[in-house]
Amino acid sequence: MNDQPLSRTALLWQLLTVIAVTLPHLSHLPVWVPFLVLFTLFFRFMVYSGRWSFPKWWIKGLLVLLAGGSVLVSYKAGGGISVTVALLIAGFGLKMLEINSRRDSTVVLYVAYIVLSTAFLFDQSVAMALYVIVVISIVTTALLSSHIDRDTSFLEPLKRCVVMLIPALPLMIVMFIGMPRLGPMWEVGLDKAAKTGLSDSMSPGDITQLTRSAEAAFSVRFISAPPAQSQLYWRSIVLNDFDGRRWFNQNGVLVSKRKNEPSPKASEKFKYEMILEASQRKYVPVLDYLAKWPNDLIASNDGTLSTASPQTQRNQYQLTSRLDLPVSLSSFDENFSRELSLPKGNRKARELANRWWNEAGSYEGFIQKLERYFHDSFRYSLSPPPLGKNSVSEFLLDTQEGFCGHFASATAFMLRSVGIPARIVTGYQGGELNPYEEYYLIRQYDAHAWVEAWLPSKGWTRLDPTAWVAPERVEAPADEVLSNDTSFLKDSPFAAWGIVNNSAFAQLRLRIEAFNYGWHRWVLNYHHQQKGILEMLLGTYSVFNIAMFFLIPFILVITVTVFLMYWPKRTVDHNPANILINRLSKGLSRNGHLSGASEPSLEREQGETVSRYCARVSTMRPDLEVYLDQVSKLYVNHQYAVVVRGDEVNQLAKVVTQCLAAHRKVFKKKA
Amino acid sequence: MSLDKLLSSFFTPLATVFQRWAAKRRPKGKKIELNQKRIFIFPSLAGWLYFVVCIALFLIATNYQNNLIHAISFLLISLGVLTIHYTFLNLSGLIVTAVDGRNCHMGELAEFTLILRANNLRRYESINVSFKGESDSSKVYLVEEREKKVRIATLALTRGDFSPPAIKIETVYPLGLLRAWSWIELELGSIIYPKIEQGRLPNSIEGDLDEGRGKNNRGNDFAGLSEYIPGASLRHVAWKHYAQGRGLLTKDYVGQENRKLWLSWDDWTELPSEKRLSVMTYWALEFEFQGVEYGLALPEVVLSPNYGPQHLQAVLTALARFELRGRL
Repeated sequence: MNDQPLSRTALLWQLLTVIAVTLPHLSHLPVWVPFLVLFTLFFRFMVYSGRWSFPKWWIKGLLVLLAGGSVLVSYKAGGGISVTVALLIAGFGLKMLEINSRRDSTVVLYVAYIVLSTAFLFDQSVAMALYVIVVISIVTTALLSSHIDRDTSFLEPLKRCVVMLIPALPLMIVMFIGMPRLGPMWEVGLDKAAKTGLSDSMSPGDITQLTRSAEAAFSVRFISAPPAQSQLYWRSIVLNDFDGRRWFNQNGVLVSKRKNEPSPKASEKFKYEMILEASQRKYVPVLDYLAKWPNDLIASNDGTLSTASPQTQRNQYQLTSRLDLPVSLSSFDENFSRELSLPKGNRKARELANRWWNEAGSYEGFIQKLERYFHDSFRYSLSPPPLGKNSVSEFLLDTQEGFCGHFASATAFMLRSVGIPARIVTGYQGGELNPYEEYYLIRQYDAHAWVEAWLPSKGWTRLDPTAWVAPERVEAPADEVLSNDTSFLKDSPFAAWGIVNNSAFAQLRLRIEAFNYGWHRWVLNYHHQQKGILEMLLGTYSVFNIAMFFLIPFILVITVTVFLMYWPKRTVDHNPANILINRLSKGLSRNGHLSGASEPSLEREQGETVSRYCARVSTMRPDLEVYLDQVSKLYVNHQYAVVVRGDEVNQLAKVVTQCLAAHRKVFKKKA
Repeated sequence: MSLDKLLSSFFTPLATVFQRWAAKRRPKGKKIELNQKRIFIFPSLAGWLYFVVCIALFLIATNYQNNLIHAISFLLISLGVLTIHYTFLNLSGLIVTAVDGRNCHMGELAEFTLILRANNLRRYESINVSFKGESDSSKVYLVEEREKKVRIATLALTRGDFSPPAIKIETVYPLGLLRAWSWIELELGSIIYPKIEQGRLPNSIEGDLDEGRGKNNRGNDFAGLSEYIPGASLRHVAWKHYAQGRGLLTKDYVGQENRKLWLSWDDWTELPSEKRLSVMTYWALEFEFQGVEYGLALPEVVLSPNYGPQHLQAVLTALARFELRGRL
């Protein structure tokens, strides 16, 4: 590694690299870091233009201490990866102050590669990927230009760099497809993001918050035919305890584990692949009812599925569900003390429930009465009037307006008042089918709450009071039903504008979403597809096959690349002077033939010396004699002179070009 | 300490054997083409660091299960693999031709001229040419032009006929990750004259020169101008005339031809032989500069008095080869 000062072009590329690499991190860096980088860039530029000089060592030392300390202070809480990124950026920003040699610049550029890659820890969109590809060529250009000794134009290194990078792309794809992905080797913490999705408890008003968000919760692709839209109940959390207003789980989530079910008895089974967005929560929504799940997930007896630790990144799961209740979920070993307990209050509601119970005399009868009552006199609304202390009574008898949370809460209360075990299930309902990629996208506004009641004949039975009130809510995608409601997507007007159906924009949106889904499935979550893809490509999975899978493309690409670079040598004589003479001969003969077959050829004959050839052509074409004389002289000088002046070839090239030009002119006149 | 010695006693012979083997394998000749057989390639320090960066990216990607970072790491690895070939192609196909060497004195830099020519239409960037053991190298690129002259130098440490050490042609272009190099031994040669050391005047002519000088100064027998003959002392060039644009003329002096001095081996008996040669070299140059005719008398070589560059070269060559020839 020779330590040489950088050329101006190299330095400019270096500055550009630092800017390009810092840009994607702006959103999560402390505000002062970009300013520090800007300052050092400005400083370096002033040095470059000769107005300032390099700072003294103690100033640099002070800056390093200051920057390092400030980064640590900026992240008191210990922000994980962003601290590292901030330190790296501040560090190489400062390094700019003293960059002068190739060695310094190499260090900065290597760090730039790493900082650039970490941008993907914060954003994995297609746009970011395209940006990163552009910046990789910038960084590589900076590296390349620091190794060019002569002065070049600003763009020349970029051109050469792109030519060098192009053959690397197919190799990258081959490695991407074939390289085995290992599991994480140690625990890594991503930055804590805000939690999204369903919370651990439910007050009737909670779900409205979610209906304002068009953010994706998860997407599902059914391997077989999908069930009907009204069957798409995605169970997330089961809530057992009620304090009069809020549903929750007293002692956290009850984890009594379920065993993976081996019996394939169920008549209707749905196998599906789910990409779950990072929610910072543990639950995994599952289609009711879960039958099979990956072993690293925890399934509980209430039919829910969860991960061991909060989900900090997008994940993909293969799950199987069935529509009828599996045996393992229908059994119970408790006396339903939790599922029956009710707090004091809501006297009127209790009285109503007891009256109905006496009238109906059976579970089914009671439930029918409830259903009719809801259907007849309630209204679905995302902005219901507020409720007071006895929320259930008020809702049932006075306001009679609300949405899934209210309906579920009231229904569960009524069931419990007459001794029917009941619990609240929160999750999602429905989803939007993307016709281009054939997958369901479930958004936050698809959040839903329903009730499960224990009926001795059937076990836990799903009751969806929202469907009693507004059956269209479960039969059509939420956006179709809700879009008339003013509260729907209140917080994201742009999303609302795009989501309203029946327009060219909606089609476009679906296309973009389908593309994004493919991006997630085939690129971001490729490790889930890798096994299948490799089996498809290789047939059997043997060491030999895998070795060939890498070797063949590598050898092919490298051979083609080298051959293309080497081609000029193959097509020409070793001697540059001979190349020029060949060109002259070819040029003269081509047009000579056209002018008339009777004329003797102007091509150089086999074994004819250059001087003799020049003399022969001169006699035939006296107009070219001036040039040919020079050609002959220069050629002889170049080939046989003891002292080579070095520029004979260049002069020869010039004369040959002039000669051919003159020849063509004459030929044109003749024609 | 003892371990050091042990190691060096073990490795030094190995290194010598290797050096000899490598020297034998080195291509020799007036014109050498660099090709697969002659080019070595190995990662540089920066290349190993680059590899570490790739591994680091791979680890980050694995731990965060991030396929896009995987992709970057794979892209950089692929680029690294391709760079092996890019680097190799930046050296292969070069033809190195020996031109000549410039004679110099011991302790000076002996300069040699080569021609680097490309046998194809590819571009060559940032090629370093240097002699073995020299840290200073000449940088060459062939972009538009297909050949270039290169001057490289090495410290002249021995007197006499000098054939320079092996030449290293090296490049780390394009990304500095790999170093491709080739050792060649070109048929180059020059003569290293003895060091120049000031000393007292030869015994035999002490005073004589002073006299001569005195005469020159006193009489100043300016005899007229004659046309400059290449090789004549620049001291006698009529610079005024030259400045006036009347061409290069030499001022002739009377009496100049009469001064015939001898540099004789036996004149500095008190000096050791090497030092004696140095002093004789000094006076040879001095006499040439003064434009005085001088002869050389060495035990085996006698050159009759004369002056001019050719004579000077003959004298210096005789001085340079002196002891060596004696030994033979």
